[in-house]
Amino acid sequence: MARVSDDKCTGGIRLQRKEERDLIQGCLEGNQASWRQLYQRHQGEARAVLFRILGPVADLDDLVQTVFVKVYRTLDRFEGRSKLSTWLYRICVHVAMDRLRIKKRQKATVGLEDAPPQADPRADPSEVTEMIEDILHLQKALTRIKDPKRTVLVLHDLMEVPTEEIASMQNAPIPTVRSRLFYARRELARALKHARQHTKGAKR
Amino acid sequence: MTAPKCPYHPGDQVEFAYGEMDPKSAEAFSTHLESCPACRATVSDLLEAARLTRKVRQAPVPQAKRKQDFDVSSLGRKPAGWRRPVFWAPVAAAVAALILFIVLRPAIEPPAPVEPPSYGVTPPTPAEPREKPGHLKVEPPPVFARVIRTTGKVTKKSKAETTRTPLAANAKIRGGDILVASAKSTALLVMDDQSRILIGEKSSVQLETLSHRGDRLILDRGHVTCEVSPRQAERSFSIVAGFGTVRVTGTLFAVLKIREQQLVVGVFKGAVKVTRSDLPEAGFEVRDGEQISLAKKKAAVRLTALGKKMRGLMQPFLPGTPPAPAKDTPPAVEEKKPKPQEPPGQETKTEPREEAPDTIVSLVEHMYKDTRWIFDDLRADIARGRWNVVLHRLENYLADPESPSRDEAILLKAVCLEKLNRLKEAYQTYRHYLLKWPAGSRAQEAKYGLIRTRAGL
Repeated sequence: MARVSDDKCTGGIRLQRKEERDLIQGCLEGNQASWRQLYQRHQGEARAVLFRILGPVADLDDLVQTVFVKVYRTLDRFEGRSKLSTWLYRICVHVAMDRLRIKKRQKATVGLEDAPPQADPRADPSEVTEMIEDILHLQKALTRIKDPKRTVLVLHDLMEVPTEEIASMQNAPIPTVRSRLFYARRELARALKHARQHTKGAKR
Repeated sequence: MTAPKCPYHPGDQVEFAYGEMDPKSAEAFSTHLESCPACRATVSDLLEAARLTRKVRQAPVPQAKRKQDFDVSSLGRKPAGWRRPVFWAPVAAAVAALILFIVLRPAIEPPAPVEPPSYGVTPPTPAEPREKPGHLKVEPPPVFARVIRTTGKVTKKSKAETTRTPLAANAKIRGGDILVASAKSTALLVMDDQSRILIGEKSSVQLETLSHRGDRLILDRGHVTCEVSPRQAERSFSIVAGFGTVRVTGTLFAVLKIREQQLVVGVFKGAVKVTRSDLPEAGFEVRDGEQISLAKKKAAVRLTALGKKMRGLMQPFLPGTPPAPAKDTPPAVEEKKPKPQEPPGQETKTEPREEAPDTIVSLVEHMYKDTRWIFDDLRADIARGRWNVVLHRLENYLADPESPSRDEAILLKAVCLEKLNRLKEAYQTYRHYLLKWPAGSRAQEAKYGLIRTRAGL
């Protein structure tokens, strides 16, 4: 997306919103080119959300497609209260959590062979392993947090979406979103602590 | 417990750990941490959580393994209109879309598969050549389904099309086509092996695959009733309905999907295996005369005898199809136990209530004399005393200004409201009937209803 710089302030944001609205309008009218444009603009963001929740799973590309299929089916319900990307993030969170539920009883969702390409090809493999482990810990902890809080946590702490934007997406007051974030962070800390204790117990 | 002594709020701990506290307060809080072990322990956990989220946030996101695009032409449901339409936008967009479509079509769409001229699913030729193993070894021709009958408004959308077209009788249905039946609409299809599929009202079904290797339907919403002919083992028949999948050969069954949350599968003949997508290794076998109910959020399932609702869905495929409307409904309504939601006062008014079932049955008969399947649904709901459901169906029916027998439907709605003890609304509905059709065929009943409800108000 041709991002409008902040120094153009409200006019720039308005222009950006108008551009986004035109794109949505085109998509709703079944315009293939608009859909392509929408996909090209937002697939990277969708991929990032999915990756930060699921890690480098083999079917990340398919999940991105799933997200956009959901967008295709529900775009008419998008009310334009928040940015399209924020709304899309929420769908990504749901898709990722659905994926976790489905794979819950199967073996590990992450394999080292699916590790993401590093900037430096000679990067330390132990770092890659550590990163995957971190994502797995976070993933497990996230499954213990219930939905409105979990979405807020993922959007705010993993995708750096401001609370105001989340509030407009969730149609909730900003203090409510802050409160959800507070409880989600506490629950995350507890879940991670629980997981650590569990791992230590198992090692003994 | 150290909590009462600690002057800091848990919110401060979180803010400190995530670095969102202003420097002055952070300094004071870090001094406090030295003397408060409880806060120290909590902050240590929070710091770990903050560290982890920060680390994951900074991890490089992998690029797509291959360059991908998003092609909507192969997708099913099209989004509805934008909520804030501009009056000129539809025309302009339609013209632009048309031009784009014409320009891009050769580039984005593969040529349509060549349709064999003489091969289809015409019922008189039940695909004899394909039964032979020799024919299965060579590349088999594509399989089609044929529309036998439609009622109401049923639309079709195929892979190659971007718009929906009304479904006509005898139309060919290919793999990938999506059929959508609106309210009070049904479609009956027959496949090459004489298996029959009835798409119920307010249902959307994608016939994802139709082939000799197997037929696979995706039930997006609503219900579908299938009678699958006995077939070769390698050709499966399955229905995916949200989180559940039904696989079957040679049986008669119905699948009902309720708002993405619940799935009911009833079997009249044969047996089916129902699996959950989140628990594929565990399958539930449902035999004839049984029905299974699965909820998305609960692992437990409910296996019961085949209920009236599911029987009603399968009615079109049962032998001696034309249902005798008055066969079981009046006694069933009469013998029904008093429903818990009805206040005790309802039961005391026996005299006027005696008339209700007859009225209802005859009303339903008049309303749905042409749409037998829907009639069965409504009758089953009345027999079960599900007045809320009946009322909902009637409201949907009346929402369409073209619905026939509106007078009958309005009177039936009044009866439902009365049954639900919504006397004020019932009174107004009776009154509405009498004002609109003062000399209507049901005017006398409406007058009685008006008197009854007025007395109750």
